[in-house]
Amino acid sequence: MAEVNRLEVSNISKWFGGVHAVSDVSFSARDGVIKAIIGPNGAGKTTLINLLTGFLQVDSGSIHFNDRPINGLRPHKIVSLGISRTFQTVDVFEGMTVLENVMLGSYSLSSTSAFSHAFLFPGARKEEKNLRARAVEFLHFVGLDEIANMEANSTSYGDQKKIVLARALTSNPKLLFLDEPVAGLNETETEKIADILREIKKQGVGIILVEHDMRLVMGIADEILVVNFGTKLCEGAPEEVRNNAEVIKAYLGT
Amino acid sequence: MAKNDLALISGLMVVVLVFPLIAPNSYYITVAIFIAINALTAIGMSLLLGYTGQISFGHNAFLGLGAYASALLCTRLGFPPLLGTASGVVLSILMAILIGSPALMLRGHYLAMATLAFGLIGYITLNEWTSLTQGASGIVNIPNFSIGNLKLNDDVSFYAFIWLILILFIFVFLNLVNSRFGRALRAIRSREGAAMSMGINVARVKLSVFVLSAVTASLAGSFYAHYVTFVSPNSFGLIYSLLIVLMVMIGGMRSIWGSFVGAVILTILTEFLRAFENIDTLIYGLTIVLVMFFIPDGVVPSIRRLGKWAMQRENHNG
Repeated sequence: MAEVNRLEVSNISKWFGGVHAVSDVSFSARDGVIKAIIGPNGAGKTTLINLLTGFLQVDSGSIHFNDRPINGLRPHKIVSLGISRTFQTVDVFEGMTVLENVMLGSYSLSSTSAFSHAFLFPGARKEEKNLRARAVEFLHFVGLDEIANMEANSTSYGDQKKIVLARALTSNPKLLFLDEPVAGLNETETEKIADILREIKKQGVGIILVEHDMRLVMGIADEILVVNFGTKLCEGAPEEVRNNAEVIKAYLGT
Repeated sequence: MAKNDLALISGLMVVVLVFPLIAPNSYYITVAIFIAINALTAIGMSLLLGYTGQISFGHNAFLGLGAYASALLCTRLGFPPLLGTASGVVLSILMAILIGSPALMLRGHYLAMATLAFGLIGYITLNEWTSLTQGASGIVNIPNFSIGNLKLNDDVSFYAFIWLILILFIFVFLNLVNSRFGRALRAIRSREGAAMSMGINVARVKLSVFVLSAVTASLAGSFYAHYVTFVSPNSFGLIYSLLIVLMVMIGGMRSIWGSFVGAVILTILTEFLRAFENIDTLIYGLTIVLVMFFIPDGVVPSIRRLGKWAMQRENHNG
């Protein structure tokens, strides 16, 4: 299959005052590949995600998605190009059900006007029905059919991790950024998420994963990018990275 | 639209139709008209404050803008009331965009302060720009509302008109909050960052809701002017903004019906307390403190909870 979706990151840097949070980092990601970004706390991993999804703007360097420059675009624009994300903190929307949360994922795919919803035009009602069906489908995919009508805020932590995953998937992403999708989960729950991620990959979605759980990373990542103090230490297949002296030094401090 | 919303709207329509037949005198009709005027502003505020989580203490200015646009254009330039009202709406939309674009970048207390300042400026302008507004003496002889040749100059016909408008807005707003837009509003209230990552243009949605709430406030202001036929700055002071926010909070922040009920309660309470002359404000304040203390999430959610609890008990016993 021809490669269709590709993210190209070239020499990006970001300063926070005097702190060089991301310094001259380049890498690429593409569909159907799981790329993990690892590094010690404060290495700049989340900053990197924020830069690539429009939540922060780069100070220098460029970001291209399918040869189109995307730096400078605001987050909601980037989502509509097919780049979705989750956050490190669990962030289900309170005051709505699990199903409504997941329906919001496809906000960028829907196009009916406020006016047509206000007066219940058939087109608006039909779209609403489709969104609902789509959300149900993705809830089933992550195994949450049974709690669809529960208040999202009152579900367990593990379920909330799945809700945000389903919500991000509903936007039909080509590329999916996941910021610590298994942080705080036990082994069984982690394994379940790993299965879901493998399945997402199989369907051709590219995943960029920031994670501290090395067993998960070594188990599912195709490529690993190691960052430390905002710079790229090395990049490669899990085996290469595991044996890289610099990586061992960064992690073990010897 | 949910079935119970449809039932409630039908029920409300029946009450509105029957009320003039059982009202002992025209004073009751007048109070009902003020309820509708307040409720129109309150349901707009409910979208902004309750659903989107953005506060405004400046909506008295939009009310004043609508009222004075109607008053001035109809008395000075001979505009028909419908056109005066529409002009007020257009001015309010422009003003809401002008004020909302920068102000809505602020959050929490800062947004409260900025909108408070706007409300204060509005009030001061009405008082001090005497060449235009006549200052504290106000504007008299504003024509009653009319639509073409249809003149609504008696209480009952205006009552029917304004309640029809209110019910229409309730219908539209209920549909909106139950659509993808309603979900977007609630997402913004809950987590702005995550809302952006859903593809929601947060700044634009916030501004649209601010504009929409300004439109209902402006309409309410115009209707007030055409009904009372006299406007003066005192009707559009900051206290009115506070009253609107209280209606939304007391009725139930996160529901259109809640803010409607809040408007009914506070309008009637204000009227009822007139009998107590000197201590009315005291009783008013005390009532609000008690309500906020014992049912902080508002009257309507509490009734809903009570209903659920009763149903569960019944199921349990039966």
